[in-house]
Amino acid sequence: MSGAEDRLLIERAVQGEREAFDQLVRKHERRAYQYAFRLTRSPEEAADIVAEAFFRVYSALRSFRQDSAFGTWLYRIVTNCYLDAQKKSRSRQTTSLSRASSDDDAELELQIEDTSPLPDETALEKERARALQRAIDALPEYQRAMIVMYHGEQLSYEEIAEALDLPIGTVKSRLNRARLSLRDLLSRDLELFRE
Amino acid sequence: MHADKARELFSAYLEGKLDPALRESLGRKLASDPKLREEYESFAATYRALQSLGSPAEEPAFDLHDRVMARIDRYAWEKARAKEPWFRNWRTALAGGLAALALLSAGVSLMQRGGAPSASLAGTPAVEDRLYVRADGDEAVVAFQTFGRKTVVVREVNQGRELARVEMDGTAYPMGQLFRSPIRVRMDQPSLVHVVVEGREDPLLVAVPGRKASLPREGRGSIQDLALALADRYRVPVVVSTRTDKTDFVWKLGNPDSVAAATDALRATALAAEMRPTGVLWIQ
Repeated sequence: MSGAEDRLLIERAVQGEREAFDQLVRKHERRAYQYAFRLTRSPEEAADIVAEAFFRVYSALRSFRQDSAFGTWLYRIVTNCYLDAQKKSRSRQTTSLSRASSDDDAELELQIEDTSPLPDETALEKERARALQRAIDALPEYQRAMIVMYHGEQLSYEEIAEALDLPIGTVKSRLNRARLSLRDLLSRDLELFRE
Repeated sequence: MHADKARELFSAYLEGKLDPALRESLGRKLASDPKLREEYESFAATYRALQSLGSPAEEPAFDLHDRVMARIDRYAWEKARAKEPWFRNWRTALAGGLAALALLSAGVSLMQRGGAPSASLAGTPAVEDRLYVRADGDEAVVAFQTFGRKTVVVREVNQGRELARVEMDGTAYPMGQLFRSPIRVRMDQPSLVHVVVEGREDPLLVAVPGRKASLPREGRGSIQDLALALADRYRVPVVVSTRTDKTDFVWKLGNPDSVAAATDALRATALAAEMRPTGVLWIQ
């Protein structure tokens, strides 16, 4: 992501140019969505999180410090939106509006789950992916976000530290702990992953 | 080295980022402790499995950008409205109450062409209702965004049959969370449908292909006939967002490129055809 271009767009957006903010969104929305989707595994929830994140970006654009990359800042905001959404859904303990609505796209998403064992190599891959996803979903949200950032989004430890505003040593040790937790969660399925 | 300390170093050891002394120490520990060695191996297997997380890329929803910007526009609009002096709000409310029927029948600026909204970050933005059409195979999927309460009706043109009716309450969603009720239109025969927002007079005309191609590839007729032929031949929804009195369009749909074929049929007019990223052929 080009930092200079982002800076220009942000400056123009702060001056009131809607088109500049529109361009900024276009430039980063795909990546933000990929990250949100990897966290939620739901297209609808991911889209809601991205919309909320850009809304927060827009509200706080004037206070954005240009000394860090916009992309990194956006990761932080998406992570916070995700954590807030999880908190909210825990407190509600009800079916979310999008699932209850007549959104047929969301309904289609609900149809893809198939838990029956499959025999061939592709099936093994799928089974691995499913087991891994189950384990990641069982992690505490904060650890999950870190795992997705590092392994899914391929961010470096330094970038994660910047995005989450944590010392790099803390990021490394928390990620190590998250991987240890994952190993424990996968202990029953580890045969799937041995080479 | 203690086993707990050794576990703390698993990631760095695996990534080759330990300094030589620690690396050697942990290596010795792993060699002498079979249980820890087994733990490390399962840790390494987990780490390798995690590398697969980066591969699958999920396509964002077709309307993601619009959803994001709709929320921004709504926020900007509400913020600007909140800044208005109270007596203006009061007057607006009164005027709104007295003229409710008139407002409903006139509607607010409905945008059917998918262009950029005219809102601005500075000043009071215009907030618009919008219709969206995308293709899903040979189905047309219609979505509607509104900031108020509206009813959208999909009606078959020839027989006037009502295919779907969706009541949308944009005010029920905080800050413009929209597109909750897409309508899928799948027809057995190639058909023309009108998407009507109740209270407005200008329906959106969509030609939807049938289950299989059934119309001649060559023909002559109105813009509606042309749209139907294009939808049938190229298996895509075709939106006509223009009005024309011209009735003698001539088409030969031998070209495998739908846009080229449509452009050829429209050449004597000021109309243009384009394939939208949503998979819909658009004539305007």
